[in-house]
This record gives sequence, structure tokens and C-alpha cells, in this order.
Amino acid sequence: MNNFTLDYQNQIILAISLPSSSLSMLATSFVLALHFLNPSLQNFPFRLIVYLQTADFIMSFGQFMNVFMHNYRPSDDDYFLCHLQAYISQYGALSTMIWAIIIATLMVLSLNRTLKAIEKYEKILIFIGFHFPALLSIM
Amino acid sequence: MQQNELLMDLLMFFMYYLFLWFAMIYNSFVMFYIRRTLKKLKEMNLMKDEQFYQKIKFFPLVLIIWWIVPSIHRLYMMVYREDIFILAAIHVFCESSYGFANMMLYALNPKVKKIIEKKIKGFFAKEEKKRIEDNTVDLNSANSYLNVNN
Repeated sequence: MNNFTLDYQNQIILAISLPSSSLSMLATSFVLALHFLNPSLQNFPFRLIVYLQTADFIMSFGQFMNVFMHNYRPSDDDYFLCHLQAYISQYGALSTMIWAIIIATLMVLSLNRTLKAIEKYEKILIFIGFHFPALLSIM
Repeated sequence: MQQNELLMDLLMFFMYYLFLWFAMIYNSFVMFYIRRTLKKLKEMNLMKDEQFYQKIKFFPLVLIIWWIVPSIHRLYMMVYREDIFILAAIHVFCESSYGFANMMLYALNPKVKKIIEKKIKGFFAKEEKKRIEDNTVDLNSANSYLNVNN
């Protein structure tokens, strides 16, 4: 059921959240599109940025979903949507933090050795950056 | 019951904000180290990318600026069990716009800027070419019309 009786403060918060999360989603989608459309941007360093931006997109989507959760109030039994939104936001935020840590670490490592040597560990990095926060968010 | 609630809050808080604070502190140290190394290279005139050297200080700064208010807000809510509207509004803004900030910081490097510039220039060049071709067609048809009438 649509609920149009939101109080003033909630409306302001939603008015802030909607444009900023939309802007973030557009910006991150733009980076993903640039990556897939330009072969010169499909190298390992830019892939790391793409992973970070994917996590950012998920976090922004969680915030975007929150706006609709306020307008479309789910019934008391419909906790699934609420939990899903909380899970997506939490997962996106944790993932983006972990990718920021990974990128900072790889920047230091790249001072002493080439990124080519680190590239072979990409699957491990993906596990840490995407799978680990998924497990953590469930808890 | 209240104790369980507090325990759950603490668990959720540390699961999320512990990572966040670790990321802030770790990134600050790492970027400080990188900047110091690059400064040495700069002094030896071995610096290749001056722009990156200038930019590197913003990596931890953005993380700190974007997440300090949400951290204070959550901490305040957990301790006093009440909400402050202005903190909540800034919290929502920071959390929602973090993707955009990361895009400006990480993705918009000189190479990407050059590609975007090239694409925009290419688009306008194509439009200009199309416009000139259309004008030429108009001019040709006008000429042929004049020739017929003469």
C-alpha cells in the first residue's frame, strides 16, 4: 500500500537520498560502460577500479531501494524486502571498504614489484572483495 | 531483552564500522608511505607522474570526510538511543554519494579523461560533418533549382 503521509524530516532525507544515490549509480554505470566499451581500459589496474565501482553501485542501489521502501511500506509479514535492502546496503558498503583497502595495498606493492606479478592473485582478491563481505553481511 | 538488543547493536556496529575505521587508518598510513616514497623520487627527478603525487593525498581524505559523520551519527544513536536530524541527513547524503566521490577520485585518471575527451570530440566532429554534408546537399539542390530557372 502506498503511504503518502511521510513526515517532513523523512521527506527531506528521502529528497537527499534519491538524487545522490541516483547520481552515484549513474557515475558508477558510466565507469562500467567505459570499461566494457574500451579495450584500452580492460587492464588489471582499471579492473580493480571497476570492482570498486561495482561495490559502489551495489551500495548506491541499496540506498536507492531504501527510498522506495519508505514510499512502498511493506506489510508486517513482508520482512523479506526490508532484510534484502539492509543486506544489499551492508554488503555494498563492506565490499567498497575492502576494495579501498585492497587498492591501497596493491599501490604499495606496485612500488616494489610490477602489477603483472600481482595479477595472478586476482581470483583471491575477488574472493576477498566480493565473497567475504557477502558472508559477513549474512551475520 | 534490552541487554540482547545492545549486544546485537554492538555486533552490527563493529562488523561494519570496525572495517570502516580500519580502512580509514590503513589507507592514511599507506598513502602517507607512498607519498613519502614518491617525494624521494621527485627529489631525485625520477618522478613520472606529478599529477598522481598531488592526487594521492585525497584517497584517505575522501574516505575520512565521507565517513566521519556517519560514524559519529551511528555512535551517537547507539549511546543515546535518539536521532539528530542534521546528522541523519548528512549520513544519508554521504552514504548515497560515496560512489560518485570514488568515481571522481579513482576512475577519472588522465587516461580516462583523454578517452572521454576523444569520444566527445569524435561525436561533435561527426555531427559537424553531417551538418556540412546536409548543407552541401541543400546548396546543390538550390544550385540545380537556380540552373533550371535560368
